[in-house]
Amino acid sequence: MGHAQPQRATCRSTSDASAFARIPLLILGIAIAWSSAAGSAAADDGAAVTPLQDVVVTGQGDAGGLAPTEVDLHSHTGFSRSIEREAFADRYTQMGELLDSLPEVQVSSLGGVGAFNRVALRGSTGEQVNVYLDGLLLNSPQNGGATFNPLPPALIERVVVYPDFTPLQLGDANLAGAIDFRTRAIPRSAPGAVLRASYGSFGTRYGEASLWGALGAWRLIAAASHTQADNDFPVEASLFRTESARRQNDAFDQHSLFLKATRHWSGLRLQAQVQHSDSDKELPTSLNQRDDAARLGERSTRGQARLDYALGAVELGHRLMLSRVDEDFSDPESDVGLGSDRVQTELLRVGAFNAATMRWGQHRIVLGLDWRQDRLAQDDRLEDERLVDATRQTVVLGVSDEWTPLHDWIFSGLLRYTWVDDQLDRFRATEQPGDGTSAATAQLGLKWWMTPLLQGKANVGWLVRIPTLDEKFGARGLFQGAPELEPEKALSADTGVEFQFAQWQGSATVFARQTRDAIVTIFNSRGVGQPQNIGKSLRTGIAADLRWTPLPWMEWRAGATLLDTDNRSRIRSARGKQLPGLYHRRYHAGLSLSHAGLRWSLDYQHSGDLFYDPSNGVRGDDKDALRTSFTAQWRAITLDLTLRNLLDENFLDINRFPTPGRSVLATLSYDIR
Amino acid sequence: MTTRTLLRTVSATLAALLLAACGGSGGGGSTELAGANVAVVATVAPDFSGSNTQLIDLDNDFETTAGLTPRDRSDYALARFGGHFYPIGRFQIDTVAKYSFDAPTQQIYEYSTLDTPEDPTSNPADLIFVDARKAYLVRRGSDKIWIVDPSAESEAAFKLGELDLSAYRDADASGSPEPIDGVIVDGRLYVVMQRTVDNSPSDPGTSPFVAVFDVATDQEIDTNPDDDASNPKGIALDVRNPNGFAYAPGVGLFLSATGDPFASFRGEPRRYNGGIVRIDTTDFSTTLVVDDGPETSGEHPYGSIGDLVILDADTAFFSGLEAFQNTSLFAFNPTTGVANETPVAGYAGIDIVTLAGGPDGNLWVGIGSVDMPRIELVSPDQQTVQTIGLIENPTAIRFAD
Repeated sequence: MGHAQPQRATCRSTSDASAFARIPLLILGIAIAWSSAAGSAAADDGAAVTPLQDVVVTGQGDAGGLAPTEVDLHSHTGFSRSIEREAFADRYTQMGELLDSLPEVQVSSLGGVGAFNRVALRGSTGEQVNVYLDGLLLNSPQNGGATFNPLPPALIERVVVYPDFTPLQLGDANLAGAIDFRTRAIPRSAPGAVLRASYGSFGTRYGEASLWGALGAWRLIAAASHTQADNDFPVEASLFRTESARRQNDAFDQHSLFLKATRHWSGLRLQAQVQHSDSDKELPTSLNQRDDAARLGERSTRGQARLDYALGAVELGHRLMLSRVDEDFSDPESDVGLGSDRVQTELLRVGAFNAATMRWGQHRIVLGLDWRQDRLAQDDRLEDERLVDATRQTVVLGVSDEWTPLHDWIFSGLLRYTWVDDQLDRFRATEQPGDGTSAATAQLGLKWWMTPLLQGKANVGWLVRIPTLDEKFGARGLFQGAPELEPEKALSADTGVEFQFAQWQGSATVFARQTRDAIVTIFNSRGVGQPQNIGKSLRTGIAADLRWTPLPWMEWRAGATLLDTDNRSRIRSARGKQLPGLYHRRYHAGLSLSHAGLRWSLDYQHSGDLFYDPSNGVRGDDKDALRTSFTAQWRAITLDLTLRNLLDENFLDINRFPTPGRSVLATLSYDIR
Repeated sequence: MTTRTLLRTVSATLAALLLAACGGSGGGGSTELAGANVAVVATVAPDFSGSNTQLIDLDNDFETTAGLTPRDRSDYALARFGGHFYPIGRFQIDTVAKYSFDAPTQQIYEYSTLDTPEDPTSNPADLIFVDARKAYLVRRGSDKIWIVDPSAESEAAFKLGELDLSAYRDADASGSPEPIDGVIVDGRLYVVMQRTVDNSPSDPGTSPFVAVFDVATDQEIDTNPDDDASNPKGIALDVRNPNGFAYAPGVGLFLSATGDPFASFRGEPRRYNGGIVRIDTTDFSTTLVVDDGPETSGEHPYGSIGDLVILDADTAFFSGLEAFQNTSLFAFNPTTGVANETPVAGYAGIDIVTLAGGPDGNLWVGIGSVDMPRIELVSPDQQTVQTIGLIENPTAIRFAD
């Protein structure tokens, strides 16, 4: 007699890669044996202990000396994680790939280069994470999403992840935390430039030019880049019913420009930047048909100016932001929806974040006032009809206090109050004129340097996610809005340690998040959907990472994130099940060797225990990703060769949307200084 | 063994034992058909994140199995014939699968319903059986109905032929008249076509039609041979957005039509241009027996009419949609055409997903609910006689022939 088994959606190996993988694994084994002996010898040499000023574990933070509008990771009690530019500058890298390598972060991709991505922090949904570019919010007020794969690496200096607890300096906060992409820093060295070109599998081409220097009292950096990829990677025949052996309609093309300038006066600092991007993305489907023609064009221009100064004992900072994003969605053959479609969307965002910092004895008090206006217009170009004309105003008032009663203790408290006001001149079929929402959030944290090299942290907080415009007032198709929707709410807590001594640095974190009133769209008998606050869940987990540098030219890396989720929704078929779309166990190991301008890296990541649906009826395959890169630098020239997905599997983070198999990318850089 | 695995093992064991008890018999005589006393129910998650199939034992206090065919997609219809049930994957799924009640978790086959692999979708809607070796596959996304052999042991042998509905194409680019349901009555296949134009059922001058085919010859019957030869052969309908057929031998063939309750999503006022129509299977005339009210104003006691079930000559029920998750159950007499404007007590303002007439003579009402999806059995005299809890919302209930 049989028993019901969940269906298994399978990722496919397009070739037998076991032999291919043995070589780097053999090298890994030899290196392990050798480094153990070498490491012992190094320890016996009495390597100096580096006092731990802040946690620089895998770039987990950097020192302060920052403006009031900037986050001071030294005093931030949350478990931030960052990736510095030096980790990815030598090759074209998608931001999603970078983030996916971090513990507690999962990025699911819909395809190849430039594909839409979905991020989870400690098992969250994508809409529960705020994504920033230098503090400028990228999330759409319409659907809550933010895609960052298209962010060109030429633009980025550092990526900082804040699981659960968002610093006040980012203004608004979301339920599960934030990701802040920091734009290029202006080098303090002499003027220079970098030219970089990449060429690789599936028609991947990337070109980048950056230059920096001084113009009078101004220091400047400018960057331009072009990214192009066909993304026509091979796919296993059984994935799709069509006969094409390659992925269809997944190409990506993007141009990007960036300019940043700073100037200092006595007691005053001004920084201004502008970023422009023009991209075109074909939209693949779960059918993989040759005549798929859906595409999304996006043009964005973002500008920001920051002014920092002091008035007596008070440090003040202002960050003014202006952005415009135009999207052009075209589906002439109804590949994606029910009928031909052409929709243009314009989002005009204006904002100002203001912060004041003052010290009062052992207290460092920060006041923040964040204002943002989003003006959204959407038109159906086939019907020549305006679908949406709406404005969302958001005001966030926050106050935080960092109390340092002893030099090795920091206690922090943060309160925010958020007001959201929606005015609708038109929003599809709704007759609602608008609505308002408000919510309060709070965070408490502590940081304790147990020794100069070992610090402990603990945080607890009450956090919310404000419903999006689509959720409140209706989306395309048969989706009704629900103006009475409450914000999603979460009670979150974490604790752990970070350390750095001798050759070792690492961290271990335990976290928990209890969510209620999560928004789930329910459908009636006629297929009409309406979002409702019926979701509830508990997420707990452990994350750890470790770096060992037994020798100056050798680094070992390891990490793990174990997630346990419990769906406590009212939906009967989902209750008691794991949350879908999340790998519940992830392990990572890596090795880097460097010598005299040469560097070789190998990284392996295993992800498992994924279900695609809330009732856990369809399980996803485990994912084993193996990557290696070889970088050689000679004078001003750097050559990098990176091989990704050595085991050549079409991963299915999202069912029926495969990602590329094995690929190779070569990058040549020329540094002009 | 994890808890979840244990539960699945127990459920499937129960399903097999349940069906063995139903299908077995003592020595001598004919063996009862597998699943003869079992109802098969297609279910869908309330958030449309997945779907499944459950069985209900009619001889064992309506005991249910757990989900037998878990999927992470939701758009499935369900057909049944003999000892087998057939989940039909609809929009952009385009499959017909076959399972036996003897082994309800073991898929016998899954065949494509596309003309070519590069077709976007055929959107199959229903499978109407002539016998074990011939059935008609109605495909909403196509102007061709497939003639299929449900017993085919290979995909190449599945399709036998086609019925042509191209004469009923409407003005939009889909190329399909949107056939949605079919029924065989007295050797004739009746197929109803919605004929929506760019997803609107209210396009002026584009009426739904019912085409009629001879099952023995697969030829279309001209339902009005005296009209202009250039006119379509089928039966023109005055109601809009037909939902499906309801047939009871000795009572007649009826059709329910929902009208246009979702016109507001197109920025237009809601339209009450549906109703219940009786189709005379001798002269193909039509009679509107229940009107959903004036098209754009006035009283609409039933809302927009949904599913329809005929229990006997005096007893029938239909659902009426008022608003989101606000559906009511109404009774009407199919012989006189008189409908009760007051909902059946206890069945007002809920999410009625599907209706079916049970072999027990009761109305089976499939009710959608986030935390209590269920089927409630309602007697002809409108009393609730049984409640059957399910795991997901029921979208179709099928009984043995």
